[in-house]
Amino acid sequence: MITETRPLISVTGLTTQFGSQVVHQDLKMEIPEGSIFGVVGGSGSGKTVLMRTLLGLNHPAHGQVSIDGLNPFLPEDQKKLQTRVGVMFQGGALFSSLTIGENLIYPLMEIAHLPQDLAKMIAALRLKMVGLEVDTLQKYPSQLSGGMVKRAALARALALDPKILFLDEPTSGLDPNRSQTFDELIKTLRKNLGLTVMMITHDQESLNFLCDHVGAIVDKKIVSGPLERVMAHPHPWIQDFFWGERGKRVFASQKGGR
Amino acid sequence: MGAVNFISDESGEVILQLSGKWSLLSAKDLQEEIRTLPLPRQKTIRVRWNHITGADVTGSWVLHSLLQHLSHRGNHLVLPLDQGPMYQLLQLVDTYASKEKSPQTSPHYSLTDMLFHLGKRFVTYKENISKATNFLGFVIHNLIQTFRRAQPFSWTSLAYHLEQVGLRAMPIVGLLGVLIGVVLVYQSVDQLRRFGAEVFTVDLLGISVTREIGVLITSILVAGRSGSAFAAQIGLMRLNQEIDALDVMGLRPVATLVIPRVLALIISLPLLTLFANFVALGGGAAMCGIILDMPFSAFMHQLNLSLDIKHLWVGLIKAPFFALAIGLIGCFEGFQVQRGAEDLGRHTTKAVVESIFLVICLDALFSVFFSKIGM
Ligand SMILES: Nc1ncnc2c1ncn2[C@@H]1O[C@H](COP(=O)(O)OP(=O)(O)OP(=O)(O)O)[C@@H](O)[C@H]1O
Ligand SMILES: [Mg+2]
Repeated sequence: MITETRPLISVTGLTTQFGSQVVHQDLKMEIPEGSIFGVVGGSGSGKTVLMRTLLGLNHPAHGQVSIDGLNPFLPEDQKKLQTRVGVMFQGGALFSSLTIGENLIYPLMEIAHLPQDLAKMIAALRLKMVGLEVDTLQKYPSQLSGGMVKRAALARALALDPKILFLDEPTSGLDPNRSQTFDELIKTLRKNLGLTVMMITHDQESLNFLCDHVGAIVDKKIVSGPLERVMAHPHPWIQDFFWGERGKRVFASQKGGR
Repeated sequence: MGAVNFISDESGEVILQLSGKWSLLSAKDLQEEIRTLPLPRQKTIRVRWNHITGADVTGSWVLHSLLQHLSHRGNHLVLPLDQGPMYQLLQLVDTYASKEKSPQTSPHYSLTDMLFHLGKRFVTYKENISKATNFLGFVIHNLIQTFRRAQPFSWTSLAYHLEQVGLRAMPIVGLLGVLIGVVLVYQSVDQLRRFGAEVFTVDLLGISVTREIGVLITSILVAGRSGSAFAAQIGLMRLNQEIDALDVMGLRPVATLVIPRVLALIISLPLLTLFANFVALGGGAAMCGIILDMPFSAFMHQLNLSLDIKHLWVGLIKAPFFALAIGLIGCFEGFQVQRGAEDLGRHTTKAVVESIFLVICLDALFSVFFSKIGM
């Protein structure tokens, strides 16, 4: 049920550079509204850098970025994007000196100005949605396991009811059951809230289960489009990713270009 | 006309008419409106949400709790038949909404709580002292091992820390030394002039700088500069699990991190003190020249008469001990960091405050000791 609509996120002519190292060169992509867009690519190919650029955290050498019609590099647009965008960073980036509960309540009270009792209840609801016990609210990030940190970070990314969700490797380090539940949760949320999700992942199962659109970063560019189309791309890395030993097992049901 | 209204239609049925946006940003106003809403007396309520223009999880949660409240009150709710997004969202919230109340820890203190906290503090205090002495023993053991060449030692690391702790502290130590010399002369000339004993300014300056002030000022400065840096560096490494990584690789954290830092301090603090002494005397000499018209040769002559070499030694002997205290406390506090950014800040502050405190305590002990042995 893919409905082609206007692109919610569009990037044109993006060139990112660190010193003499070029990470992206003249990269162009579009993420349609309401889609779950999976970003794949080898380690160090610039997936996280792309996400940071879209969020306005990293200034590119050239190129335009538009998110929901806004420019993330303009301060006044940045403010408007605040409540529309939820981010889950690769390392979690939970505030280490706050408990998990405070991590969730803080943006609710500071940005949405909710009264404390309401914020507390919403925080508990969010926590249960990502499958954590309520007693986690009182714990500090350093007292959680790796997988719990991931889920708490997702809960915080969802706290402000964003329209667009950026996830950097949300399921890496989770056990297979958990990552399945995780995927299902994201799918449910997308269906009910009309979320647009950009998800960086190495997990072929998640990609197959969740994503209708994919972008593969290869040779400083991105090959993007509906899953079946990208799967059929002749680039060796893409062929290897989708049709290597592991990929073949997962994507067997897809019957893409082959 | 708000977002929540009870209306009755022609057949006398009560309808809960919902409208507007039920989202995070309107949640506060919605809740306010619901709180002040007059509730109908009729039992059956028909819910209509077809005028809701947009909803998200937070908004649905507010609606969900309104509906829950009504049904707990004994109302019979008739929900719309459509299974659109609003229904789906309510379902979603219902799945996760707590059936039980979320835990509310009330800050209620009784006398036993107070006693409990007092006891707990005491025990933590005791534990900290034993941890610190443990650390002291461990470091000294490692130091001895290093001197006996029983464990590898990195000269590169020592050189690096010597530069950071010693060389780079020279400009600020020098500046402060000159100022102290100037201030001491300025203050004492005023007092001594009343007895016509201005010339003894030089004695006062020489003895106080070499015995006490030079080493104290240098130590306090180094505690603020390097003690805090040690605590922050080691603390951040702990947070990143770098210490654990060293440990499992068999590179003992104390040997690799603490020994070079402490040794660098022990070597550089006496040298810095010597430097501070010289510049303070220099600053004092310049000031004597300006306000007393005392030529440099006269200053040196007076200094020679009053300043025995033993005074210089008294100051310098203390320096390595102060250095050991500063280095040990800085590193120890670094290792105590556990939780995160705030903990890191707390232990860094503690490192500075405690090491300055300890330096001054040690100085007092040394004064007693030196006066007993007649130095
Ligand atoms: N702040 C920075 N300064 C310099 N180089 C950087 C910086 N951030 C990233 N890079 C470089 O950009 C490249 C892409 O990094 P990025 O973090 O985007 O990789 P990635 O695709 O997310 O990899 P992974 O799958 O391992 O997370 C890497 O070569 C990295 O060294
Ligand atoms: Mg990355």
